Amino acid sequence: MDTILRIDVGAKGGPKAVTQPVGPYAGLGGRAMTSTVVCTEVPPDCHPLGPENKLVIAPGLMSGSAASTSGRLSVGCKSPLTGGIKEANSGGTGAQALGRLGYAAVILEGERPKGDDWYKVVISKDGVSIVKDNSLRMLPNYDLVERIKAEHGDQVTVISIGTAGEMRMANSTIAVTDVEMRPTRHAGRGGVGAVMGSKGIKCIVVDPEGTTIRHPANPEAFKAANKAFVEGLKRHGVTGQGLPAYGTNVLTNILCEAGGYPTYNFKEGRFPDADKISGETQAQIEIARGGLATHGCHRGCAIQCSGTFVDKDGNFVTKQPEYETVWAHGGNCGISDLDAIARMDFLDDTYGLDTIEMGVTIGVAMEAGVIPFGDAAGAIRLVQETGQGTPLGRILGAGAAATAKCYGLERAPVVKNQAMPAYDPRAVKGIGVTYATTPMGADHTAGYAVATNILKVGGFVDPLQPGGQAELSRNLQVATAALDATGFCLFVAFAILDQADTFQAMVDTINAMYNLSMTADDVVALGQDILTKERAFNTKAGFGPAQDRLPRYFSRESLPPHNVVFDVPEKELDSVFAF
Amino acid sequence: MAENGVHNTPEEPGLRDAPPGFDMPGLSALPTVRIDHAEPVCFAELLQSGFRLAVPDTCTVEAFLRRAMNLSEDYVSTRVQTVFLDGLAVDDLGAAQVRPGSRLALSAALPGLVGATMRRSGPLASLRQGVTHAPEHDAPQSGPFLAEVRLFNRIGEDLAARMLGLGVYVRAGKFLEFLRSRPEQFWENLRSLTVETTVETAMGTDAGSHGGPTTLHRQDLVRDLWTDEESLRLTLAGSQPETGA
Repeated sequence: MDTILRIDVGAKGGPKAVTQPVGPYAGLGGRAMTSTVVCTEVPPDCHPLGPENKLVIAPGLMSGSAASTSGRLSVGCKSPLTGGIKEANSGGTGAQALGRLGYAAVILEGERPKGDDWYKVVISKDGVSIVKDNSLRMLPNYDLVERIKAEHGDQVTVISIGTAGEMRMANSTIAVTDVEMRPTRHAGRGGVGAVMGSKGIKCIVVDPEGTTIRHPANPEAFKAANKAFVEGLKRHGVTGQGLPAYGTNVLTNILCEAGGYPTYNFKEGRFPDADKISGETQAQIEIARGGLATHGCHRGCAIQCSGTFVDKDGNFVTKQPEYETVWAHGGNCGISDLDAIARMDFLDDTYGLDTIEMGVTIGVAMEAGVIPFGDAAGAIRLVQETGQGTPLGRILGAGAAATAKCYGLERAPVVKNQAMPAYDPRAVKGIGVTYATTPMGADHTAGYAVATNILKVGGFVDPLQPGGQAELSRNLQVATAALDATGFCLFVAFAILDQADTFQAMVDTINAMYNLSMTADDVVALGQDILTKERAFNTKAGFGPAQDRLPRYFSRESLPPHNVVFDVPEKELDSVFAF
Repeated sequence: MAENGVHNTPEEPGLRDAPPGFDMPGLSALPTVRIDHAEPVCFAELLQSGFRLAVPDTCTVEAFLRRAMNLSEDYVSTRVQTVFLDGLAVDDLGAAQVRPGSRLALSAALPGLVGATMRRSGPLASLRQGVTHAPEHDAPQSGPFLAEVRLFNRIGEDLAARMLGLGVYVRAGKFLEFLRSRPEQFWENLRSLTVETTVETAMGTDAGSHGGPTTLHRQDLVRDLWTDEESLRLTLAGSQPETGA
């Protein structure tokens, strides 16, 4: 991966593609690449939908190689939702296809020509072509992919925006097709789809035909390390058993038990009908109907956390909805019908909407009285209105914070305008620290790579002693930023937490790929460097300590059943980035 | 079948012999539903939403898991990674008390940052300070009671047959809702469901004095068999009553 593809959408005569050596960005991948390019080339005070913003698409360092579970694709830009820097990443087949073609990044830049023309980019081993194709305008993702399939076959990857991205909604995703060539994987958060839409690019078709997997610098060492890494993933209770059997939705029951499951727009911590939408129930339904409860989003995944949700007649509805999706459209909205939730997941995917942002927005709309809590049919209608761009849909598509503002509500569960995910920070205060301080806006994946006491970042943390939440959040964010650069799925973090040999095997795999001798300290330094750049960008964009806070009502309104509030001192929040 | 009427299924991981029976007034008067099913594991979905187990006295969580639920030390230490008592995450099983009104939930290792955070004595336990169970000691004795238990994910699959073998108490409404939502395969694997009604008299208990064991058929589910709040005892066909009554 030694080439960067730049597409100047404002070039005379239409968008032009230029390839150039990776140059100063050598050695970077995934989030390290996207955030470094954005920090270097995008003015922090620009408008996210203006010509100065850039969209950077970068496979992880290991993507396209035989390294297991390494198919993550990072997308970076200045976010239309938060106004700060954004990295959203996705599974699917995109990272592997771009990696095999040798691209370290694809950068969309420049000013879209006047008019409403839409372009399709095709990347293959033979080069890059850019075609004006206005017949693709306002096609939802699933319809778009069928069109692409008819023209380019079913072995290509499609990276696309749905109708939400075309309408430049602050809630809009970039979809990436999976192994069945369905647009089920999304760089979901922060409105990255709107930035692609602002460049007039409807889709990027990546054809890896004629390429081979990337070869490691040290094949023998790579093979041994990768084997040990896979064995570690298979051996662990979460990556080897829990995730394949139930998917991420296995969390529903336990979050309810903890009283940390945001219910009725974050008013309560337990959903009475949790057992109707839990991962256990979902897996049973999928199996009984002839769907799949175990499935991978890209080839070479050793975890297989996904599945296929089918209707009562066995017809495909959507991929297995994730925990956050089932929560956002389910318990958060008082809805306990898995079929309705699956339908909304499909609609989100096809219109290109972030399921967390959409579900939280519907919860806000329910609190505003637009529809009542528990109204599944009404919630489906709201997603449809958003994807179709009705006047109400335009409001909803602007996200939870904007919707709350339009309806005169204080209770918008957001940080930096981005909707909180499925863990109430009053019950799980530590995750509230990450919600508040991550440069990305409320994001459960920003502090996720659980390696604190293995990496010994900042010393050993006694888990049973009070305090230290800022320190833990810092360490988690550092480790996550580094992992996001590699292309490894975040879910490998569980095996890394418990099995030091699995962590070492992962590092050895990277070292053998690039003939490096990277240590844990180097991993820490990489993560710190990424976060430092992102923080600096946000500071120049106007962010300060006042934005590193949860909404005040989380400190004022207690959450049943434990009746807890978020009470982490501001001083502790401000200490998170004291590297 | 082992002594004391509890099925031993050696293929299940780390399960101990059954506990001795004990008296608990009133329980023997509840209707008993005996289940003969080729795949008792499919009842795990019911057990996630809560059932009650009879306990002889207030005890630590550790004692509850070992004695009331018959789990081995190895099973508890390796598989039961996440324990909640009354909605609070437990780190020290020997310093948390199951008492009348308690609600206990058990889970295997969970994904996600929060999944790792909830794990017993995990490295991220301090992230959940608001929902961590404070160690306690010397709880007063209470005598027999019913404790509410929820089994999630792999734990439910592992223990469904064992818990039914012990005999669990559930709300009739929840049980009927479970049955009504079962797929065709469940009914194909169901050999029988029988209901026994036992009444307590001045002379002792009288099994079947209200008509004896009756077979429950799928078509019976459309009728109002019990009120939603009525309690039932579920057990596997062939199991003996857990109480010593």
